[in-house]
Amino acid sequence: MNYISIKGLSKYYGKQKALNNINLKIPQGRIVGLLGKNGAGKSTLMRSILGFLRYEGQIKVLGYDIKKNSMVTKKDIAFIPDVSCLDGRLTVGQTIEYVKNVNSNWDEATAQRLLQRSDLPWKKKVAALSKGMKTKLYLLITLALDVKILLLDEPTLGLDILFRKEFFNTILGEFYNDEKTIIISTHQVEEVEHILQDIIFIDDGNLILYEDVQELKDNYNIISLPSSQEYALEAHQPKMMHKALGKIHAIVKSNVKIEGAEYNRPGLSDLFVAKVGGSNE
Amino acid sequence: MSKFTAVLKKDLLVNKKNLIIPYIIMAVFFLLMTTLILIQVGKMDYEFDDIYISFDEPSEAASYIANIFMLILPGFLSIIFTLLLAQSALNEDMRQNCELFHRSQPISIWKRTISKFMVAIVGNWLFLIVLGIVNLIITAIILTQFVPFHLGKALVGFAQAFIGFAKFNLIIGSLAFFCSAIFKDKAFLKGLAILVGIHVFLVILEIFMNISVPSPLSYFAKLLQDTSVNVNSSLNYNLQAFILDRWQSLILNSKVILQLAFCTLMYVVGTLIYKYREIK
Repeated sequence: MNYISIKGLSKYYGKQKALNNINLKIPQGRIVGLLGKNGAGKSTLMRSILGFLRYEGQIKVLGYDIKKNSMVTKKDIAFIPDVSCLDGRLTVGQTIEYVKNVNSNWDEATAQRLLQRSDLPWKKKVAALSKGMKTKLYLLITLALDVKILLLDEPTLGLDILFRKEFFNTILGEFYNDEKTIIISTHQVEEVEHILQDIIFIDDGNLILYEDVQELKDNYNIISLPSSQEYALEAHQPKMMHKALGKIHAIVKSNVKIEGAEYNRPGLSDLFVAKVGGSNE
Repeated sequence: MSKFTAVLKKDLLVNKKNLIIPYIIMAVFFLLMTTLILIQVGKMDYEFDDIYISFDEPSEAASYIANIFMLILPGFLSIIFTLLLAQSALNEDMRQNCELFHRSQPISIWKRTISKFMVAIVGNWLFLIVLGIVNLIITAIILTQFVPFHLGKALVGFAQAFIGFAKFNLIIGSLAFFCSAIFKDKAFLKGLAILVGIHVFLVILEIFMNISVPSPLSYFAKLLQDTSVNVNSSLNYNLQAFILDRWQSLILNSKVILQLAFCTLMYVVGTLIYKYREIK
């Protein structure tokens, strides 16, 4: 079953096109990475799925058109944007109680388990928490919800590496099963690529690629040769070439074989640069 | 706990400070007044007969008028705090950077906005009721030193003063609530500035081009009339007739329907603007 179906999605901010005729079908039980440069349209895509934006086209979540059934779909989607968007005026306890009381699919047992594992100060104002603590709180109130879809929009922005690792490990351990779908938008793709099953590349509002991660990696290799043999690579239309430490490295199709070359499996960031181009940051 | 109760509880918690401050101000005021009275005890040489009241039932009138006057200060405080709360009702979450968090919860926008509307307006009505009851007790204690206290008339005075301010708060709060859907900051002042601007433009239009267009500001001012508590204008009444006259000008007239329609319109349009506002 497709949990999310997007047909002809376009979004304009004034005259600027943020999303251009996106078509996507994301099935249940997948962990999908969303990769793009700054301003490529990742957040716009996520916020369109949540019904926060007006758009052209159709978005269906669990079979329901979100324009007509935003409440039905919201019940089955949890969303974690940058963790600093929690309400700083509430205490930790008040935040947990509030989310618990407005969500009919709150799982008290999971909440209690996560609460016991964390050292969250119940009476402290959210505004006074460190970013790490806010992450723990956001994770608790999200993972205690028995939802089918989890959208993560740069959730670990500004967190140190320990919290980033803990964040994704907790999500995998406490939330994910083959009936749930997770979409992760992050700049630190290296940290999540081992858990991703599918990847979406988005650039300038256009969907560049939507593929199974393993298949994508199987299709390409990083070939390294001495710089003097650059001509041998150019003949195979490499996707990306760069020189380092007296060698030339290039991403080429996996069926390309060159004598004396070193072969390595590409990472998602290599493939992204190869497909989309350099950074604009 | 129902979803609406949970949202209402959350809104009360985040607006706790603005809801409590009027009580603190009044507590300080009562404390100061009590101190002053205690200092002056013994020096005072007043008799009830020294106070001129032109009603035909002076002791009943005293119970009635005292409870109206006693609610004037809390009334003005409630107007200020209604404005403060209502003008930030639909934009405060955005300024606090938590709009995304609240919008991603599965609660209907209408439930969220009615809760915010209630906290801003009904929250201050409750303040007036509490203060009205306190005033009732105070006036009963003070008046019984001089004349018989008439609970019935005191309650009527309190009720009329409360309804006057409650209506004023409702109308002005609804306008501020509507403005909060449009402006992110100082919403009521900006809304009022636009109304004044339109009014000035229409006056100029009438003076120079002889075109007369009804001004929204004049309409709003007319809408607010008959909501204020004014017992000074004509005291030479039979008390019962005066009370009836006040009831008629406060609630027993067709203008009340217009006032309620205006408030409903401000709430509905404000909510619709908020509902269709994009969260980028």
